[in-house]
Amino acid sequence: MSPLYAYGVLPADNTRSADQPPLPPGVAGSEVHLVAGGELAMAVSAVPSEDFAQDRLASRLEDAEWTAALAQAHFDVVEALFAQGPLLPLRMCIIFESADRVRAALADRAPVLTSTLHRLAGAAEWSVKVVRRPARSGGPPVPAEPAATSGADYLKRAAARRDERQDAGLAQARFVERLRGQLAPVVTADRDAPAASGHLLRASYLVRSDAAPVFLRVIEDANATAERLGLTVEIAGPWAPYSFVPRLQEAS
Amino acid sequence: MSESYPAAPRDRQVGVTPQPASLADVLELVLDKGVVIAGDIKINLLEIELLTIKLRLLIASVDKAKELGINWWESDPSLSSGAPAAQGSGNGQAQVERRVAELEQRVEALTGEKPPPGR
Repeated sequence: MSPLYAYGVLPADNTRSADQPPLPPGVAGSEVHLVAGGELAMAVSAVPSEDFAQDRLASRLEDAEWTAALAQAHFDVVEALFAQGPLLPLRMCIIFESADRVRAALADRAPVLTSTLHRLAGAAEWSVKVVRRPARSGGPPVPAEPAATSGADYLKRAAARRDERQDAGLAQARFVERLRGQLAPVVTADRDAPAASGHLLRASYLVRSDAAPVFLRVIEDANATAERLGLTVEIAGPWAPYSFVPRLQEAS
Repeated sequence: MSESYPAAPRDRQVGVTPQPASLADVLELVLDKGVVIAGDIKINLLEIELLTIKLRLLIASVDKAKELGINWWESDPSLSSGAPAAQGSGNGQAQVERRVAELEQRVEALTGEKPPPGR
């Protein structure tokens, strides 16, 4: 019997209407289907045990290209399901031995899964990053300064350049704080992603669909200011609320 | 896998056209996040973490990764000997270290003995 690879949890009454586009194939090419248990259902697809059995999966995952393709296929299915209605996205590589085991897992966690589905209904995750633009290449040429006439002169200029950099840094930090403040009343929740160099802001926002136009307008307005400060506001999404679901680690 | 997601347009800072998920986004989402329900087939979290690092290295040359904002290893001293010099001078220190290594090899070749360790 083939293992079942799981993508997400959704309400069992979430029947697909006929005019919805077909789901993309599952991670191993077989069709995605729902296993219902109580009021919930899990979207799964059969996967070959050559690749996905306990003793095979770890070594398959060492193949980075195989894994990247798996991640992309997982994401594509999750996004297609999310486009059709409420969905709790599962982390990659959650695999069950049978449909009965899927139903048991749903039953175990039904209360928290159901309440999370209600909490997240109608909202999607967006990613917002504020990055420093790479050193200008197209800007006006900086006039060459005449050589420093003395050691004291050199030090004075160095201090002035340092002050300029500090002022720019302060203005950038103030900009990010202002942006956070403007987004706060628009979004339902936020999570900071781990810092990365060159990023002044890396965050995930949970945005209800009716708030999305305002959210996008805030970003657009911010981008005009960002430009003047040598920054860029990058936005990606919307996608299923990966960052806003409970982790529900193993009970054991 | 490269044809399954669109390349990020270069002019993404223009306007606020939201970008589709890049492979970097996808990996961050599906490997690190999402509901974790106990399945029957388990992979341990350490494996997932190592995997995430390997994948990030795979998907991008260092330059491409910088563009995507996933060059965190540059500031992690355990992963990068150039970490302290990461801001400002960029890869200057790496170049110096390469050069020192080259010169040490030449000294070794000429004198037949290793230069003393540490500098």
